[in-house]
Amino acid sequence: MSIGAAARRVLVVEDDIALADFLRAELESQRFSVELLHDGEEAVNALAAERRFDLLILDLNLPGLDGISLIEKVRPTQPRLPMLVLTARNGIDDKVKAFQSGADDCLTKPFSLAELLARVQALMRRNSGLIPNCSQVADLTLLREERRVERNGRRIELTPREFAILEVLMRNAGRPVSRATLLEEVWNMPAEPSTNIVDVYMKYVRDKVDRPGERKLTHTVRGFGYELRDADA
Amino acid sequence: MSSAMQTPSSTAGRGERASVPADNTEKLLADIVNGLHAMAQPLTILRVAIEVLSLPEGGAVDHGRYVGISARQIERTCNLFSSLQDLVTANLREAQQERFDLWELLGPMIEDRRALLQASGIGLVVARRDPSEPIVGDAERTEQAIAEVLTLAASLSSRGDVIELHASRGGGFCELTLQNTRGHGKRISSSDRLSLSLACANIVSQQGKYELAEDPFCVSLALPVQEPG
Repeated sequence: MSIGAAARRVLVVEDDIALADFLRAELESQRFSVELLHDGEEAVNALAAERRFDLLILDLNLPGLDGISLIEKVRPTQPRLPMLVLTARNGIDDKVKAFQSGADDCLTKPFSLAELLARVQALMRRNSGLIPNCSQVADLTLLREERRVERNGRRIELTPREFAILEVLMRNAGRPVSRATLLEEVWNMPAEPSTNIVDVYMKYVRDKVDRPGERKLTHTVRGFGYELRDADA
Repeated sequence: MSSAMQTPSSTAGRGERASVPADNTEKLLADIVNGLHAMAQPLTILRVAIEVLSLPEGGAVDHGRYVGISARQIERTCNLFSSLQDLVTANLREAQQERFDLWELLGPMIEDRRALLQASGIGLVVARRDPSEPIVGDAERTEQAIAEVLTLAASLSSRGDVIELHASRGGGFCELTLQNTRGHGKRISSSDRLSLSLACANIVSQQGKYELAEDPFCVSLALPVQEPG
């Protein structure tokens, strides 16, 4: 199972099952967390549900709902979601249509892996410019690239999963984050009311972040989830 | 339910190189575009797999896995290429016009397929209401057309399904209808469409008729018969 935050979430919508499976394996080997769908309509539903993706890769020739219609449906509600279109149609018209409907980039099949990954990284970079490397809440500092967490000069050693939880909470500092969101972003799992895995890991994070005598930064939002905030601010 | 019907339009004499009739040119081009689209999928996998294989050995790359993937995609590409070639040939070259016994031709193939399908829990039922006058047409193209639609019907079927092959005669044709009444909501990919285009071209090129309904999957192939007397 991949770990969120470190693993950026990619939705691949491709109707050729062999190609879709192959792309998933290649992207996962590059530490992306990948969800596969084979139908345009299913993709609209997945994107309409409370599911967060960092990138959408889609084929133009899809059953259910074609790629252009899919982009047109999703773009108004997800203006920042980077969309990369894969197409076997080499015509300028198809690419222009894809860009006009809201796609960010187009790649013609058969493409090379190096080019696909370069484009994926460029799109991610463009989007991740919105998330700074360093986040700070009170005296707690998180450095994403260095994967380093400190509180008032004290280095906090976190496991990858704990780091991922804290990263999501830091990104949403001052706002409650639901258990479902944490489950989805950190474990890449759909919301599952019967599991208490989030609470278990949250306790580990809390024990490391909020030491006795320190100001409490991690807060439980009863019946919902958790929030990171400086209570005194 | 979407359906498409093709009727014969070529009238070139035997042995001549027939040109594609104008009303078929557009369909042929659309079929070729679809076939090229189908080929782009395995070619993409192949290109990436070869790219990975060209990395120096000794890293984390499982070369054996990529060799296996490449072999499967080469096979897939070759099959699609062969179907495209056959499609163009069926459109450009005139079909044979010979008398043949349809069931003598199809019998062994149907028995083979029945056994294979049975192993996957899928039934194949043949219901004949046709007298045994010979077909007038191209045996090779007929066999290929029926093999293509049988393969596709099987790939769109699940365990417990029954593929029905109905044969009947009327209006100077022997009509073979292949259907899976339980095969709802199945996805027909671009490579499936290439198979259907090939089946259609093979039947239409011998003065036959072709009709497709996608959901539930049903294909009708009508072949000219030599009427008694």
